[in-house]
Amino acid sequence: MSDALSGGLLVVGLLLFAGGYVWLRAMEPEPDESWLPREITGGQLAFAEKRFESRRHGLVARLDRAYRAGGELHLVELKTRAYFAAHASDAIELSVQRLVLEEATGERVSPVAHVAVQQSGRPGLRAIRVDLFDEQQVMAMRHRLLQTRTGHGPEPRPATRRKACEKCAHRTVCQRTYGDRD
Amino acid sequence: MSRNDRELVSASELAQLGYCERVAHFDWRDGARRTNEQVNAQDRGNAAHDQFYRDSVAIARASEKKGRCFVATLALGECAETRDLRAFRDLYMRRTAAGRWLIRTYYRLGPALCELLGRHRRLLQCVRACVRLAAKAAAWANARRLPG
Repeated sequence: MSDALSGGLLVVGLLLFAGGYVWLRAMEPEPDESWLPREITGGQLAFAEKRFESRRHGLVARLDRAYRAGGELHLVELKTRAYFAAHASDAIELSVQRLVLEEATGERVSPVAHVAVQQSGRPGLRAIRVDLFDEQQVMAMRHRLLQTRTGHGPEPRPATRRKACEKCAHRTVCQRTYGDRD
Repeated sequence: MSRNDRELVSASELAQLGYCERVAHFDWRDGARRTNEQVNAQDRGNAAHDQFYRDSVAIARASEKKGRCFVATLALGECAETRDLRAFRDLYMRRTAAGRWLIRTYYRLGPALCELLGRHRRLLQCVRACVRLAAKAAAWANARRLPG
């Protein structure tokens, strides 16, 4: 085989490889964002998996995503659940994220956030709107948590859903202490 | 300032209050305890978060390209209409190979188009009217796809 022929074959091979690579990249599916709520669609992803803290509030949070849209930041928190619902705990978590993000960036953060629920056995995500607690309410909860931990203040309340107790690792000691969760 | 005032409380710790106050107390007093079921759920959650983060990185990469040029932004500025067009791009065009090819071609030609429009005000006015119409159509199409 002449040198010219082998050189030509090498160039054709390289071109085929490059073409294949570009084609495969083009076929690569992009992340689906069709679940995004109306307020965020078309906005820019501003933060992902980022930790923020506020010494002034004594709070720290790692947020899943924050989008910039309509002149403010919008929080999105991912949850994997067997059912499609948002809980009070989600609203509390997102409220803390809102406070620390506002403190760190100086930007306005929307008082409405979204929980992106990934239901087991179902493809894709679905978003639920959540109204957030204000600064005063969050700080009152922080105070309450510190009291609860140390056993001061009012007696700690049990889970509102009895079903939650079924899979709780503290169930035995809880029943022994309070006698109302058998 | 007391020790409690300085102590950093995490969002997930505080969220536990909304789940069960007693767990917050027992976790603090006896150390965090989880059943196998809870550990499995935590593992599933971590895996989902890893994927969510990988998606975030891909979205952020795509967003970098968004900033290079935008004829609509030149014609209308940053407004609801440009957001509708971006949403249309993300909801419809990015989901097919042909759509992604169109987006890439548009970004490649965009700077030259913007330069041309900057030099010809009449042409820019025509484009502005067309972009407005396109944005209206995009808003209508987006409303059909979006929840709520």
